[in-house]
Amino acid sequence: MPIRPSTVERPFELLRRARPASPLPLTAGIDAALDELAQSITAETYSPLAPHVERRRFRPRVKVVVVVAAVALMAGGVATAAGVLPVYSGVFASGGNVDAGGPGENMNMAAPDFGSAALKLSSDIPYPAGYAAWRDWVVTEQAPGPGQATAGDQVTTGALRGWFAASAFCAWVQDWRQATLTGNTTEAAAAASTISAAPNWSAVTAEDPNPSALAPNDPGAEPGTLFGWLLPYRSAVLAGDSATVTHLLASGYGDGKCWLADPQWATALKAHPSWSRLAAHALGQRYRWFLADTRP
Amino acid sequence: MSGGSSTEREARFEQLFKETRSEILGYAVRRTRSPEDAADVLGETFLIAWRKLDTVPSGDEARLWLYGVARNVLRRGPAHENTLDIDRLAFELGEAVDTSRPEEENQTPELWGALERLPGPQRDVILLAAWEELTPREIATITGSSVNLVRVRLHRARAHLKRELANRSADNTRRRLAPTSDQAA
Repeated sequence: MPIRPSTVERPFELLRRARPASPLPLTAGIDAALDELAQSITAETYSPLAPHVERRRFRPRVKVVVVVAAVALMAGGVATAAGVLPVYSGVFASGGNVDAGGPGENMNMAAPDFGSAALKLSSDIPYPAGYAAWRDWVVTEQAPGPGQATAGDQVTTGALRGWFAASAFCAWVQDWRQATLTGNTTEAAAAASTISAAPNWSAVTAEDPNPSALAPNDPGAEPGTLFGWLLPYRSAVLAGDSATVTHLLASGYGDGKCWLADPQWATALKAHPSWSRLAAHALGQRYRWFLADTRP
Repeated sequence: MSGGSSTEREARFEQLFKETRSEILGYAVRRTRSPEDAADVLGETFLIAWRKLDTVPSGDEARLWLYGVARNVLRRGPAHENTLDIDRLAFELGEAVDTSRPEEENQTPELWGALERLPGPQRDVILLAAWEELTPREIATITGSSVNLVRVRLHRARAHLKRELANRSADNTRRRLAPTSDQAA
């Protein structure tokens, strides 16, 4: 199967088509062998402390150990033989890398001062009053620093500012919705004004000069350019349509960005891991209940 | 779940095994090079589940927990006490499943090459998404990272693959259009 230009544009689809052993044939023989294996396992003494006594030679198909070694060398992602990992790499995205990872300088997410640098970088992106925790959330959860990132994890300044822009936009949408539902017309008007201008924020246009909600995207992803998802929210807000705003929020419209940005909802999701397997409409219903409980 | 009679533990394990063995076996087959390795990974994964049955989460979380264990087994290589009977499973897999890589059949060599050159964490998440059809949230649970970090790695992995494949495609085109030595002469 030679690579054709049309498939180059859809590497994920190409990868799916190349999935080995698909589907896995569960023959009667495999079934019987699996039953034997289960019996063999339960015949083992039930002991959580049973030791491993033999290590066999093993050849993984996809070698994932390289990065493990790199992480070990980084000793938590901060120290190198040359010293502390700097937050700014001095390398700027160019050419195809800008499309892939956003514009600007590559930042090392595993650098110890990544969080403070990220907050400083986002200081011009406005959040509504009462939503300061959302800005912090981008750093503590969405863009984790040395706690989770490995030495190879980098994000461009442009992409990082984009994450803050998405988070702030979602905060303003929540603020508008709540102000509208509670009759706070002054706050609602201020929020609507900010939301109206959001597609022109520099953090947005640097990554997506012409946001469109309809542009084609990767298979499985929602249509739209990187920030095209702002537009339906914006239109609903400017129309004063809180029901549509609630529907967009509850459906996770925008590839779930307004869910990821919301510290309270993310906490609720973590507390209920089984929700990850719910159908979209069932999860959306829980989100509506969540909104009713927390932001009536 | 804690304690419980031997029969209860066995019943719970058998239920867990029955519900998840197909998925975990598929994962093991796709990420190893031989039926023996795949059988090893499956056996080791469920042996760990048996030993840690009291700490295996309930419901669908058990499935993600098993993926996490299998992923760790793949990373470090299986290590078992040689009492598991995996020979028949390896044999049956060898009979029924084509575990060779498409690369070895001269298919999509560019894709495999690009995949091998991806940084480990990016390769890990894109294969979990593309081959195991797991969501970013499920992958985050399996890998113990945030959903956003998974999304970052997915995004970068797709971009890397796209860039590499585009370069290869361009190289191929150039090669096709380049005059041969005879033509040049």
